[in-house]
Amino acid sequence: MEQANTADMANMADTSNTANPAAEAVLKSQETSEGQTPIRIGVVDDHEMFRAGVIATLQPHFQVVGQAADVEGSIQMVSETQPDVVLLDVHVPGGQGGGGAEILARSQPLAPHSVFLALSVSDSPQDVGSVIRAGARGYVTKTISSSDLVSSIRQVHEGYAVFSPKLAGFVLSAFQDGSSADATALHDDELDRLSAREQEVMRLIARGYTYREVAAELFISIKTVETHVSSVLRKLQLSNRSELTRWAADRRIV
Amino acid sequence: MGADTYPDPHLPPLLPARLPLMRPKQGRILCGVCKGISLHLGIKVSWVRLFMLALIFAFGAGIVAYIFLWIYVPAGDPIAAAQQLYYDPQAQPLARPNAGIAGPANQSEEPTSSDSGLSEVLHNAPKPALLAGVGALLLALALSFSLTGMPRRLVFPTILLASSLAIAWFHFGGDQRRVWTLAASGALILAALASYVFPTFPADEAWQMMLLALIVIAAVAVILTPWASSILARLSTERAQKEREEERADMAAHLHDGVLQTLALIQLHADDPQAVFTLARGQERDLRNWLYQERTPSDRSVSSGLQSIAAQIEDAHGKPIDVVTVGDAHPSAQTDALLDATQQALINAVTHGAEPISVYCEAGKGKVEVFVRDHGAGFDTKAVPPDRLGIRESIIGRLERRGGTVEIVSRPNWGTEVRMHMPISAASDQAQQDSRGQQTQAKSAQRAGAQ
Repeated sequence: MEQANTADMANMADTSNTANPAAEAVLKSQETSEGQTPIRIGVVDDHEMFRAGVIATLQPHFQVVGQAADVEGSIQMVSETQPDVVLLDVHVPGGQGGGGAEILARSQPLAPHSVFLALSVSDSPQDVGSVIRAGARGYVTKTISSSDLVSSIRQVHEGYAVFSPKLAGFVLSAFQDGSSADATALHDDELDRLSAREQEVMRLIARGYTYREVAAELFISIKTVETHVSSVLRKLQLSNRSELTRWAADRRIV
Repeated sequence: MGADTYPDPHLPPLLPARLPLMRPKQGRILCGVCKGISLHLGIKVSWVRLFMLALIFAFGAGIVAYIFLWIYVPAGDPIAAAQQLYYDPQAQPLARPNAGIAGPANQSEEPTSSDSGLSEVLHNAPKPALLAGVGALLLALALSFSLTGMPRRLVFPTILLASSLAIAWFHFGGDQRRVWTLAASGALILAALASYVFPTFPADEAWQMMLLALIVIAAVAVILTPWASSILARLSTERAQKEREEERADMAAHLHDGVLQTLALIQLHADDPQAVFTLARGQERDLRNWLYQERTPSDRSVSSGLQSIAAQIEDAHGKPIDVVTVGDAHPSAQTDALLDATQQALINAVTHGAEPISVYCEAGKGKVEVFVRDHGAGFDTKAVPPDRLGIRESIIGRLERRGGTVEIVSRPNWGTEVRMHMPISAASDQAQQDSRGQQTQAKSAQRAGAQ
């Protein structure tokens, strides 16, 4: 079971942004026919039509257990249904105006086993940064193809991080040398800098490589790539670098 | 009904129109009141000034008139205002595009009821004119006292009273030190009263009078407070409302000129998926820039330049390009060569490669790197015929002439990646400034040829 999962994971990872939906479909049909319990999904988006579209896309592959359109409703939905994966829009009305980041911060204690994947139309570093800092396991934009979205959901459910090229670019910008000399002087911590390997992985992802291509390029296994990406995510969420804390502070979630 | 029956709108007017009454910034001595009147009436400015000075001797009527006009005549350039009034509507475009960030340099300022407090006016006025004014004022006072035979004991109180009024008007229009001026004028009025009362009446009566005066002043202040505070509150809400209105107008203009037009076009081209994609993608980019980014113009930033190149190619070929930039650099001859090579690499990617197409640009200390990746079938880099100049000349040659390096990696079913590295030096930024003008001209010519 464990090994089968890993193999699937490898397959999932390399399809995370290939343009080959046919192979994807075959793969998924095999998966669902294996009779595993389907992944339970909650969808949070204030845009009615978009929410309906996403749910229609996901129905064949997953079990959609709840949906909500505002901060309070989302927190209630997450705590009542305890979904495996929550698809989270960044700009959601209600609450204290903190949007997706606020939902994350307030509902995580109520649903400790749910993981969050941010799905947004926004490209601004503040929005991306705020939900990642609050604890999202990945960030994809709404222009993502449906097959990519399905594999991204599987990926976060397996416990890995989903990094789009854009997000990798943000990470590199935030950790770029000299971008905040004062912060590195203050917190000379392993959390505040990327290792050489992590930087290489981030660069390749930003250059449009899939996880599998990254692994082939660096002569490492996909598993190792996943590990690097997850550790970068951890640094993003825990580091005290000023850019990152500012992202979070903008949304008043610190 | 022939067209010749209409009056020609460009006939010269029978009487020259009067300029509006405004206080111009140029040619003023104190506040531009006299200059404004002379422009409005068409009289020489020196006559107006003499008339004003003469009026001072009529119990200071000149001063009162001057201050009154200064407060109620708006500041501004009457000539420009007149031109704005009589502009030709036929010369106006139907829809005005959004104004740029930097407006025209000779923007006529909003007419304001007052430009500054009296202190600022005195500060800006030429000193001889000030001395002359003060002299005239004192002369007028002396004359009026001697002519009317006013008792001598009134002189000092009058001066105190006048100075209290002056202090109250001193910071007219200025927001700062309002409270301080009010307190000072109140104190001076009391002092004026005291200096008159104590010499004329016995002490206990004088004290009673002072007390009465104090009570009256306090009562007036209490009566005026709610009125003043309500006026202040109304002013601030009006100001906030005005700002909101302007913001909304700006947003409406942007949505109208951009998004609505594009949506209309998308409906027109509903049966052409390629056109719809291009329109939607272009509008999305535009809106994103407007919402989320402080755009630096591409002539001052390498990453902005790269984004606009990618946008052009996206629009021309209708294939999405994923752009990621990290860091930024000042444009130089080296980065210009790099961007031109990037453009060529992107054109190759959209014409020969397959999606997803990504461009990644990292600008660090001392070098800029650009990677263009597509997921096409790939090609054999050694088998390119020698007469094909696309890669050899436009990409490799361009960079190597400027000291950069290029690697091209292509594998079957993996796609192609063009990796370009260009060293930059901080000192070269200034050195290249002169050659940049010619560079960009040559470049735009090339771009025009390439398209």
